[in-house]
This record gives sequence, C-alpha cells and structure tokens, in this order.
Amino acid sequence: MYNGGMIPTKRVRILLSGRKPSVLAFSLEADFRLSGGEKMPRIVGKIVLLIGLLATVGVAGWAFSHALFDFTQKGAGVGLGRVFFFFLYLPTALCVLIGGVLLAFRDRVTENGVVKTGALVVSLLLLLVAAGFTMENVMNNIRYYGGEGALGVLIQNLFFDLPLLLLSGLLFYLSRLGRAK
Amino acid sequence: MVGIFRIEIFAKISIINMSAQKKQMLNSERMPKMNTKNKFLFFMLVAVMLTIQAAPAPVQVSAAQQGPSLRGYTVETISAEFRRLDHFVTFKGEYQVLDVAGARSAGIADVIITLAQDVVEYQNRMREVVKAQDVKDVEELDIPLTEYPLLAEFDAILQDYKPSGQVEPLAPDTHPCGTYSHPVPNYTPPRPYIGWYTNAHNTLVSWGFHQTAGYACGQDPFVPCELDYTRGRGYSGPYGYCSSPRFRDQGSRNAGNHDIWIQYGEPNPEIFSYSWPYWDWGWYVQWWHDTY
Repeated sequence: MYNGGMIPTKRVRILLSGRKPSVLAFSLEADFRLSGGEKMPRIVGKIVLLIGLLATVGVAGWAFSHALFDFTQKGAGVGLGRVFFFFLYLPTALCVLIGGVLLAFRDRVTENGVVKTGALVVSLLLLLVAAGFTMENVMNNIRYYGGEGALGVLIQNLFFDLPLLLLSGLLFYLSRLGRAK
Repeated sequence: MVGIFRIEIFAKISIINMSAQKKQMLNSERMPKMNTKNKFLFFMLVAVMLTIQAAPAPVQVSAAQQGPSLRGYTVETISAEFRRLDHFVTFKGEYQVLDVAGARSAGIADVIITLAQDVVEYQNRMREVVKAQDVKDVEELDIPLTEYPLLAEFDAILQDYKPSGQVEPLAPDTHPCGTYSHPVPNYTPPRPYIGWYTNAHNTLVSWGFHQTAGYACGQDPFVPCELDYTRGRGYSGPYGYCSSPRFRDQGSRNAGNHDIWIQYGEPNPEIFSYSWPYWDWGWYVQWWHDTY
C-alpha cells in the first residue's frame, strides 16, 4: 500500500492505534501521510470501477442487441456470439470491474467472508470451464480433423481463455486477501 | 437450324405442288378427259407430294436422338449439383463408382447424373491410361472427349466461363477463405433435401459427418448438437483455395432420424477445433453466419 514513501504502513497503523503523547507530533504527520497515500488508489479504483461498469453494461447491451440471451435462438452465428460474450467480452469487462472494486473497496472486501468464499468458488469454476473447453476443443481437433495443427489449436484456445483465466486469478486473489494480511 | 431450313423448303415445295394440283383440277374441269401424259404428270405429282410429306420424319428422329443437354445450367449450378453428388461417388478399389439410383432418389436431375457418369468414366479411363502407359504428368494425357458428349459440352461451357468474383483477385483485402469485404461464398449456399434413410444419424456419420460442437449451433458448449452435423472440407473460391477444415458441409436431420438435408460449403463454425487462417477469422465466421 502507498504510504507517502516514508513510513511503512503497518508501522503507521501501530503508531495510530497506540497514540502516546511522546509520539503525537509524529503520528499526526503519519496520519496526514496515510490519508494522502490511501486516497490515490481509491480514486484510481473508483475510476477503474466506473470503466468496468460501463464496459459490462456495454457488452451486455451488445449481447441483448444480438439476442444472445434468447435461448430459443439457435444457429452458428448466435452460438459463436455467446462464446465470444461469455468467454471473452464479459470476463474482460468483469476483470476491470473487480480490479476497480479491489482498489476502491479493499477493506470492505477483506472483511466480507461471504464475498471471499463466493469469489473462491467462482474462481475455481471458471478455471474448470476454461480447462474443460480447451480440452474438448483439442480433443475434437484430434478426433474429427486428424490432429491437424493440434498444438496451434491448444495455444489458440489458451490465448482465447486468457480473460477467463485472468478473471479466475483475480477472484482467487480476492478470496485470499484476508489471509495475506 | 438445318431442320428449320428443310421444313421451310418442304413447305414451299408443298405450296408449289398444291398450286400445280389446283391448276390441274381446273384444267380437268375444262378438259373432262385426261390424256396419258397428264395422267403420268398427275401421278408423278402425287408421288412427289407423298415423298415430301414423308421427308420431315428423319428430322424428328434426329432431334430425339440428340440426348440430354446442359442448356439452362451454369458453371455455378453444375458445381452446386456436383457437391450434392459428393457422397454418391465412392471408390471401388482404384476406380470411382457413381451410385446412380441413390443420386436419382435424392432428386438430382438426370442430365447432371449423366454428366457425372461421364466425369467418373473419364477419370477412370485417365487412371487406366496412366497405369498402362506409366505416365508421370496427367497433363500429358490426351483422351478425346468425343465419347463423352455431355462432358464435352461442359468443357465448352468452362472454356467460356469467367467467374464473376475474379475481377479483382489480387486486391489487398481478399483472402482465399474470405473477408468482410469479399466474403466466400457471398451467398447463402443452398440446402437441398438429400433423402429418406432408415437411420439418418448413421448415414451422415458414414458420409464423414460428425455432430457439431455445441457452441457452433447455439446450444450448450459442452454438449454436441443433436440434429446438426459438420464435415470439414476445403473450398475453392474466387480468390483461391482455402484449406480444410476451414470450411464445412452442414448436414442436418429431422428429430425422427430419417430425413437428411445438406448445405455445401460455408465457413466452419467449429472455430476452436482448427487453426485459423488469419487472426480475426473467428469474428469473421460469426459475422458470416449472422449475415448469410
């Protein structure tokens, strides 16, 4: 955490918790530095959060305009649109959104056990989905297309899974925040 | 042309004969008794008339003997029909065999089947000649097309054929597999009904199809499509050849597992199971399927 570049954050907190008259002047100075140091990430976090929200709303709007949520619609175009939405656009937007939440409301997230447990479960599920999808596609390549460029297909799928893996990693990090402290 | 010309001549001769006959009748009114010379002329005229009336018959016979023609077909329609014949052509040893009965039951026109037979026979003969003469280069072969009248006609059509899409083959925004500005194909391929089969699923699988990946037909991405089938293939378009399996034939069957339809040649939507020809191919395929 940024602390003005002078005093380690933990030490500042210790100083603030047990304010002694002898160190009052020093702690006041530290308090000032702490407030300035925490403000910046929070402001940046709120901006990132806003961008993430706008991106999420944007991709959701795109999905609605392409009738991706109308599950009675079938066909290759709609199917591929859904894959792009759930594997690429939405995870990318959610990565920005969660990054913003982590920067702006880190303390609240750290204290909320339900959010952390949920994040861990979703993180593992996303990892499973990404791994399962990649494995299935590589298997299909071997089974139906004679393994033509199987390694390329694997790399291509992993590259395509990046937003999902990144989101999974971010949620996993979020779920471990309390323990890190 | 020759037939019409002949008919015109015959009509003129008939009119002349009729007028001659009329004159003769008038003369006979004037002259109640016909002399031997006139009688001879009259019988000669009747004989000539009968000959003339019998003459057009050979013209009709020759028209009937002309056989089927590719009139009304274009290179594109013939190519599309040939794609429908794909699974009716099999190999028996080294030689190709066309399942004529199967093709007929699929509703393919007789003229196309006859043309396909010509092609199959010609190719089999090529193979025989290559084997017998140990020819290395197929271009060295000189097998006349005279024995294959429909193939000769198709060859003549091909000589004059200029594909409409080849006006700018080297434009920078073209690609053999297609681009947004120059999609391949730039139309919705026809989806003909192939026929009724006792087990449509097994039939499609025996033709090289597999059940399409779930995401490529708009269903659960982890469950293969039930009624939708894919057979990977390459595609020769106006900008070159796009290698297999970037294109596909899409087979579909009804829920009763009897009726089969096949759509020949479209970008393969199983985009995660093969390497892409260029970096944004996946988005292009989605766009193509949304558009056509």
